[in-house]
Amino acid sequence: MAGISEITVIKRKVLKEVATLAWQGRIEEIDSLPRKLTNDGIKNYRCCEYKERAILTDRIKLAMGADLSDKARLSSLIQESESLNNQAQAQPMISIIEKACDHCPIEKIVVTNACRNCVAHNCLNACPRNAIEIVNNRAYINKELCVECGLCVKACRFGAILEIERPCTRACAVGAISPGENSTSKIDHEKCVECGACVVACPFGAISDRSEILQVIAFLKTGSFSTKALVAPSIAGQFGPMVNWPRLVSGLKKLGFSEVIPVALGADQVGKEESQELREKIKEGETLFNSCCPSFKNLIEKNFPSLATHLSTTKSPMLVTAEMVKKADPKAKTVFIGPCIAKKGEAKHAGVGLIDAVLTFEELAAILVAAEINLADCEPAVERITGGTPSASGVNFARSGGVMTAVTEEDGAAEIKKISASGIKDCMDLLKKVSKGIESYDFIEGMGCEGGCIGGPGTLVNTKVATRALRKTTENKGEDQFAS
Amino acid sequence: MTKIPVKVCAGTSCHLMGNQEIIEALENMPDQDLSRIEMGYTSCFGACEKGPCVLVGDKIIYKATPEKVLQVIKEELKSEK
Repeated sequence: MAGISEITVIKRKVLKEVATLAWQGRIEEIDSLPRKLTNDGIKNYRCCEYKERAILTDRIKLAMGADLSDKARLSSLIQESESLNNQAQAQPMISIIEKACDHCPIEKIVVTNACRNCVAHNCLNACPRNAIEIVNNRAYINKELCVECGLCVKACRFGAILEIERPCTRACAVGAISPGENSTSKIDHEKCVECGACVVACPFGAISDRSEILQVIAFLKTGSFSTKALVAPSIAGQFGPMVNWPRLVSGLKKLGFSEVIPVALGADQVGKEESQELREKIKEGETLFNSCCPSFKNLIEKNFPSLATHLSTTKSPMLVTAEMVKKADPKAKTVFIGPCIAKKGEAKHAGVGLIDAVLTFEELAAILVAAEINLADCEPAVERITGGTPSASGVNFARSGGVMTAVTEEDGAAEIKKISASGIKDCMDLLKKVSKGIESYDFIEGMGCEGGCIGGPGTLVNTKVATRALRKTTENKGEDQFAS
Repeated sequence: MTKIPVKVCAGTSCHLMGNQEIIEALENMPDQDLSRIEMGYTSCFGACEKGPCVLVGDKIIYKATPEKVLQVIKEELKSEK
């Protein structure tokens, strides 16, 4: 999460209003929601209220879990969205809201008014393609010759030449976003690793992910099975300074979850299994990559297929925890709650039959507010966690380096050559070196988000605050510990 | 010198609407100002629809932003002097 902008607030208001209608059993009123939102003050951002409402309608569609290609009225999408076999299920989780996309400039190298037509003409001299000439007393870039190398940008002593890039394109390290027809941005889902960096980066909020809040509310309101919350290790501090684990458990139970299970328990098991795997890999002279981060896994499978054999075959902590839960209660519905968009995709592929829905912390907060449950006011739950209390190393899966520590320090082997990278760009840089044989390691930890899961797109607090809270959870055996 | 009480609502609704930015802005205040406020949290002011809410002295700020809160604190500090 990169600060709370007006875009963040709009997204959250939409989630909250959709959740409120569903929670109160008034979801059939959804068609009037765009108008309500503009009346409540979401306006003046676009040319007119009509455009604002059209964009809000698309935001609502995504909040409902529908696909934007579905042009039907909002109210006709309800049934599909509440049931689990809706059409959108097979669609990618991240979409471009074309109406909201501002067609940001595509030209990458731009000469500004600051050009003084100086005598040195460093730009002209720096250009390897002779693409720059002086026209009308100013440097002019011939687009047909320019290869966008950026050397002129560096060469100009006035800083008069800018290198600009669409925020979404810049944020996408795998190069999955490019201008499509109409010059709005398009996602190439063959390349996309679902990290969500573009969702956070777009200042127009034109890229967003589909939520499953309607499905989860439908689960919670159905009495014929129990619904279990599987909460990611990155939960520490996410709900503010007054909310610890016992309060969260109490609030989620009030909401209707029958049990709240920390996924750090599954992480503990993953740490053990992966370290076993690592020992075998080392014997074979091979490298092992962690498999717990779905974006990192997607990155390897889609962009470095030759390295895929190094991926750990151990299931992710989410799936390991879900297996425990489903074993004990096969009829139960499992809802993973975390900071992650890519987990939504993982649930629909590797997680079929194990994970029934995924919520981000942000989406959970929207449901809680809709149900008028204030976690800060909840009486702390007193029961112990079935399956025991997760260890600090399981909890530390939430931050960059945590998986590496858990896996490589399991038997205290100090000579293991290991490295961790976080953020898709850093992961790519590392994988490029590894695939070319420039560097080699016994264990590589890759995390799709900077700082690890606590830097995820679905978080409620920034990485600094989350790190502080995580440290408190792992170091302080006091009230923030899992067992109350 | 009496300290000015500042209470930030840490309820789930205000949290969703962005109280975190305000908490951070308060923590990053210059030391000489920070030492003159008594920062704390409350679980709800009962005005969730108008959140985030922050209480500065006896003034409640609705739809609070870091700028609004810091401005009110600055004025309070001035009148205290």
